[in-house]
This record gives sequence, structure tokens and C-alpha cells, in this order.
Amino acid sequence: MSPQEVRSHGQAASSRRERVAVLALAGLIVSGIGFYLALRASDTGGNSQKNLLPYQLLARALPDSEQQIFRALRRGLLDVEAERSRLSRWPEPSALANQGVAPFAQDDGAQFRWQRFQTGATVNYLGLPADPSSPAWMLAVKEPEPNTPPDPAPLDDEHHKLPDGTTLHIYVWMHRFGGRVAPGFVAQPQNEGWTQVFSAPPNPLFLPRD
Amino acid sequence: MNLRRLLTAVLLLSAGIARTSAHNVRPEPVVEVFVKPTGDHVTVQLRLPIAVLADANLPRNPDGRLAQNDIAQALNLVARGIARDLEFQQGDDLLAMSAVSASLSADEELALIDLDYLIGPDRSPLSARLRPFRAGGQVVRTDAHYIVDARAPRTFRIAGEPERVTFEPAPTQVLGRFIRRGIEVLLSASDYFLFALCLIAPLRSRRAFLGACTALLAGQAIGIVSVSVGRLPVTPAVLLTIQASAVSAVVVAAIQDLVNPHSRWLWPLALTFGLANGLSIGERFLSEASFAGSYVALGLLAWLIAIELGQVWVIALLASAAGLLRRRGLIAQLAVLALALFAGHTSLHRLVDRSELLAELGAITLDRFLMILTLAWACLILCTGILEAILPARGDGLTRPSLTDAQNAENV
Repeated sequence: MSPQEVRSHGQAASSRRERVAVLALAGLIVSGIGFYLALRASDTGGNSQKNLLPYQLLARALPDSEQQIFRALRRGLLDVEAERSRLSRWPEPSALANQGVAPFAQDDGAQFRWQRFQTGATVNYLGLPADPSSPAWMLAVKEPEPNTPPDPAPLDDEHHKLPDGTTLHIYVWMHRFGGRVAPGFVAQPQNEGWTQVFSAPPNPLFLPRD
Repeated sequence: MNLRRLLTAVLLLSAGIARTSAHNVRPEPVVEVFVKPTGDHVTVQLRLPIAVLADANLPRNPDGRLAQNDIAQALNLVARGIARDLEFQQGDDLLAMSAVSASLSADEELALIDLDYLIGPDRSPLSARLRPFRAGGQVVRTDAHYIVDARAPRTFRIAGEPERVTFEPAPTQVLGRFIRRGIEVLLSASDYFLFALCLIAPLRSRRAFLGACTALLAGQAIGIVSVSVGRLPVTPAVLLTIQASAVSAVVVAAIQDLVNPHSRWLWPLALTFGLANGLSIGERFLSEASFAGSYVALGLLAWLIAIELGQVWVIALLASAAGLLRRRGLIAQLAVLALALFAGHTSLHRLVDRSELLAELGAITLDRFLMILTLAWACLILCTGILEAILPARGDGLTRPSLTDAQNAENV
């Protein structure tokens, strides 16, 4: 006769209790994490600024009207890059406006006066507002310097790649006092009162270049 | 008490303690906003240090002083830009600005901006989008004072991301905000986590463990409520002293874990730590209390529940994890016990850091403060030793768990 394991009533009850305790603890962990994530998702303000430098800001922290301009700039950037690939040079804002590329072309009149400035491999598209109390915007595009190794950063809001493989660094800047901005190339925007605007916090492994 | 174990514990905790570098505390500029509803108008006055308007490129004379003749137009433009940014609302409706004016203070240190808005007859709450400013690459916080009556304006402090502040929030808004803030405090203020490590490091009886946890949470609740209702004025020096005392309690708990983990003085120590930690956390609530509007008690309750429940959750997790690890054998048990060393060592570093900050305030020198703190704890420990000699021995009939209990349980 083969030996059989006989479990006492006490042992079975102890196992049941332990199983319940483990399941309860697992439920506690999952519910706690779920509650925290739900709370974070519903948070419209918060403290994400702690991951940004003083001159950086997330787009969601802007007023709605400025968020619209930011989104229009990011969308229009794709058309600008397409023109750059086609023409092998960065197009003039007037050409973009003729093609109806927002925000360079505005249906409701000249909300911004766009100008293009370039120094070396850096191009600035500067938009000065018609209403001087409104913010000014700037799209800064940096091409790689000649003979520099390819940038290993993954493609994101900041890093774009042209069809010919050229990796671009893209930055969107905003100046709160648009009427006080002088037209011209801006070499160090963060030192001249400009605020860098992101959709999401920048990747800490590949921080924005100066 | 085994003296050799005590000395060993102190040496292990103190290994590698080095002084951190000091930093100077400079007075910081602040942007002040005064909001006062009066009948069918709401007036908003902003006082901005000129430094935060450096980006506005205000016209200056060749000697560097502001050009008084040309500055009016620039200031007016700045005022309209800031007003546009404020997005003053009543309910969901953007308020139209009826008047705006801007000027400089006599000493040219401040720009004064006055805004006037017409408000509707309904009682929808007023709100504005407040944000910090920038000066010289540093963030300048904004203090918005909502003047309800002449006695006590509510002050809203904005130093991080811009946010819409409702000056008279609804209860649901208050609940949501303070639960979120409570969880943020839970995640950022980690002293309790170090104390929790000390609680779970040695194998204790369930009664002792639960008693200590209860004392910790009770002391914390008392501390939070005491400060939050304004009964205990907490200056920066007092706050640093309290925070230093809290981490010193963690150091004592770590030593206790290694020397005498079954001490009857565990729950008083937990109560002491909880009280000190609660006072520190309560001060943070005080700085945010204005955001609760008329529902301060509700906000405090939400804050308290979020923090206490969160800590219970953390302690339960840690205790379960420690229990699971101890079943692996003697090495694992010792590894769990070593968490007390980590907690004590980290707390020593924090104690030194906070003592240095306190010394920089000029209230007391670093050495003197550490001496007083050490002597205070020494006196307390001496008193407990005397009481131990006087009080009857613990004959509670409970079998004290030993390090090999878990192993024996496995072998059954």
C-alpha cells in the first residue's frame, strides 16, 4: 500500500488562510497602483515642471490659444521638412503661406509676421505677433555640422530625420512679450527670454543641445 | 543591553559619513498678485520685481536706468500680455478686462499693474491661470492673495507648473486636489520609509509590530492636525529642527533593531517619530491650505487619509516582502536585518544635511545642535534604562520570535 499524505483539518485551514492573505495582498498592491495611476491620469496640473529647466515648459501648461499655435507649428513643420527635402534648402515663410501651410498662412488675417533667419546650420522661423501683447513664436531647426557622426538619439519631437538621412534637432520657442522682440537671428534663446515648449518632457538621455 | 552590539551598530551606521557642502540662503524675489472682488468688479493688482521683466527688454537710458519717458508704452504692453496670460474666468466664461494700467514704483524696483474686470451677477467661482516667472535663469514664485475680507486673505503659492487656481473651489475639487497632493507628499517625503524599514527589519511579534505602526500613524495624525489648524507656529528654523529630530529617531530605531529588537520602547519611539514627521508634513499642508477655499477641514481630511492609507499600504508591502524573504533562510534573514543599517546610515546623512541647513539660518551652530540632540537622546535612553530597572519584567507569556523561527516553521 503506497503511503498517502493525510492533511489535518488545521493544516487545510491554515493553507486556506494563507491563500486568502496572499490574494488579499495582491489585490491591495494592484488596487493601490491602479488608484495612483488613475489619479495621475486625472491630474491636470501637477508638478511635471520639476523635470524641466526654468526656461522649459510643457505645452499643456499654456493657455488654449497658445496650445493651438504650438500644435499648428508642429504640424506645419512636416510640410516645411518636405519642402526642405524637395528644394535642398529651407523654404521662405511666404512660400509656405502660399501653399497654405499653417501657421504661416492664417485664414483670419495676418496673426503673425513670419521671417526666416539662418546662421550656419541653424534656421529660425520667427513669428512676430500682430497684437504686440501676444507671445512671439520661433521654430528653430538645427542641421548637423559637416563631418559630425550621426546622432544616435531616437526619433521624437526633438529629433527628426529627413528622407536623405539627415537628422534634425527641432525646438519650438515662445517669447511671452512678443511686441518686445526684435526681428533677427536668436543664437541663445534661453538667455533672451524665450521659453522652450515641449509636448512631453525631453528624454533625459538625449538632452536638448545649445 | 549588549554593549559590544551597541558599539558595533553605531560604527556600522556611521561608516562613511561625510559633511556635505554648504549653500547660502539668499532672499528670493516674489511676484505678488492681489485679487479683490468688489460688487460687480474684481480688481487685480500685480507687483512684479523688475528682474522678472528682463525678457521684456524695457527701454533704458545709456546709464542703464529705465527710460522714464519711453517706458509707459512698454509697460502697458507687458500689462496686457500678463492679463492675457491670466485668463481670468468666472465659471467657464472668460472675463473681459475693463481697465488696465501699469507703472513703476518710486524706487524702480517693482512694476505695478492694475487690472479691472467686470463680473456677472451669478455666483460662479472666480479663477485665474497663475504661473511662476523667471529672473536670471531662476524660477520666481507667484503669491496670489485673494482678499475675502480685511482679516485674512487667502494666499496661493505657485512655484511649479502654471495652473488654474479657483479662488472658491467646490468640495469635489478640494477632495481631488488634496488626495493628489497627499500622495505626492507620500512619495516625496521618504523619512517614514526609512522608519518603516527599521520596523520590518527584525522579526517581531505581531502585537509589537502593530502597536508600533499604530503609534506611528497616530503620532503623525496628531502632528499633522496640530500644525494644520495653526496651533503650532512653525518657522523655518523650527521646521528644520523637527525634521532633524525625525531622522534622529530613525537612527535610534536602527540601533534598537540591532541591539534590542524586542524592546518595550518601540512604540514610544514610533510615536515620537510619527509626531515629528507629522509636524513636518503638516507644515506642507499649511502652505497649500488656501487651495481648499472654505473647505479647509475637508482638504485636511483628504490629505490625512491619503497619507495615512498610503503609509499603511507601504508598510504592509514591506512587511510581506520581508516575511517572504526570511523564509529563504538565515542569510536572507540577516539581509533583511541589514535594511536597518541602510536606514540608519541614510538617516545619519540626512541629519547632518539638515543640521547644516539649520546652522546656515544662524539659529545655532552645527556642532552645538548635534551635541544637544545626542545628549537629548542619551538622556531619554538613560531614563528608559532606569524605568526598565524599576518596572516589572515583561511577563506577557508571549514567546519572542527568534531568527530561526521561520526556518523551524518551514521544517514542520
